[in-house]
Amino acid sequence: MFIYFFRTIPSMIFEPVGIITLIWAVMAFFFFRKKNKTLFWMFAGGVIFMAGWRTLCHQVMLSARYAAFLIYPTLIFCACFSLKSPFFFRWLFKKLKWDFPHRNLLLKLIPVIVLAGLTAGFLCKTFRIDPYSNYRIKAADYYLKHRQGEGRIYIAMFEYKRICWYINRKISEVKVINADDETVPALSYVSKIVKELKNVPGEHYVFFFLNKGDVLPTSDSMKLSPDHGSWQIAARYYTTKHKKREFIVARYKPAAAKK
Amino acid sequence: MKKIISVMQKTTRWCCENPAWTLLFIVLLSLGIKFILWRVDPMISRDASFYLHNIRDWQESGIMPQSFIPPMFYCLVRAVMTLGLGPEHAGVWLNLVSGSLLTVIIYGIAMESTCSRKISLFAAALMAFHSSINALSHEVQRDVPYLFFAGAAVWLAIAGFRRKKWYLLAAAGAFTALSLATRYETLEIILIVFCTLTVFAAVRCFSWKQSIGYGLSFTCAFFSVLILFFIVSGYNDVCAHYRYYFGEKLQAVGLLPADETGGK
Repeated sequence: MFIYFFRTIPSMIFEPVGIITLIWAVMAFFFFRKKNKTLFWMFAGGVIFMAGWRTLCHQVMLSARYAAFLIYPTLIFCACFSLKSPFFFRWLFKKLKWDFPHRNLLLKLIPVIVLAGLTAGFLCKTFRIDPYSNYRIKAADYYLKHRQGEGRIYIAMFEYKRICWYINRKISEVKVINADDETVPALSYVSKIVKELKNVPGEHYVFFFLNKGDVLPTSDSMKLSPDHGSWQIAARYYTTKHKKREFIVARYKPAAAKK
Repeated sequence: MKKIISVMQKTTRWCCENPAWTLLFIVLLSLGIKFILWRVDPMISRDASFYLHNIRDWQESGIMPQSFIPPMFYCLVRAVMTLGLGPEHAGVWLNLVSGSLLTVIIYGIAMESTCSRKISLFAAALMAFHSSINALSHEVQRDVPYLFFAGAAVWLAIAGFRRKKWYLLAAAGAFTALSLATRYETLEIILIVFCTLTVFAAVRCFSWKQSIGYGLSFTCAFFSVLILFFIVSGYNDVCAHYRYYFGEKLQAVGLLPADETGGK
């Protein structure tokens, strides 16, 4: 619950926005506590209710996107902070008898600083795209370009539906293997599939992940005899810029099918 | 520096005096950002692939997909597909447009709740750039249409409470129905609206008679739109969908035997 409230919700609404929202919520309490603004209190109550509801719902529903609705009030709170906080700071500086040059200028610039800062943050987060993240599209393109005949397709990953979509196949047309645990070494399940396919005609494709340090499934490492047919690593792509994992497209043509 | 501040003040004044043009500019800016993001990063998410498979199955078999998500999103994508787009492009364009229009919704909510044009335009500008909205809008997700409908419902509800107009609350009820047919999470809005009506009546903002009237107009519009949606999108298909969804839930708690869900 705490993780959802302090990590999932802030990451969805953007952390600096979350901080500004909290600051404004405290400031607004001081601004409005003595005023009889029923609508304001209903609005604030509604936001608190929504945050609480989501935090409780997290027990049964593990969706970060459920917090997306909180973007509305938080952005309005941010706008209120930027445009109203200069009045608050002016009052604070006066109380503290804190005078310094360009004080008024700084106060006038608060909205611009907040808008520019948040916009820059949003744009950086939006366009921070890992250049390797499109490995699924590349792998699917490779398959669509090079496939010959209609062999079987094995996809060893949790997100097999995406590959199915990109290779233009129905989910029922592919076989999913090892979908639960992607940390299992590829060699174990790939060699098992290849041995099963020995007598199945056609050109078969296997899509799987290879974690850094794991043994690459080759004819040698899988101890395939020459009568097994040809096993070939057709394409390999890094999944992230950290290069800790590869996504591999392998092609297997059993000897029986060649004849 | 004084010149810069003077230019800023003039710009702000112009924006506040011409909110329609400013809002149009913000909407187009938002659409542009989302469109560029889509071209740069065309990957679809795991959920999107699930929706797309369902839509393609529906297109091929003619039977509405029976899954755990409400059918409105599928219907919207199918509606956009009538323009000649494929499922993926239809889903993305639906989200690009509705994602850009969220700026108008937040403007409306802020305008109703703060009565300040400056704050409302500021919030709309922030919405245009928001990273999570951009991330959700450039692919096939049902969250953006949900945010659009739910946001519109909240906007109209706040307007209805402030102006004390029954038809605004009826419109809020209609959008709540559309939102509920997109995501079940909308149920919280119904709860909030009725709580607010009760509290307002209790603190004498409204009379009890007014509160009941507003509640009735909200409820009537809500059910009317929901029934209309059932009829327009194929009564049997939608009923089968809900029978499947709720049947599964009832089965899970042991209130329905396994063969009565109406599902696959």
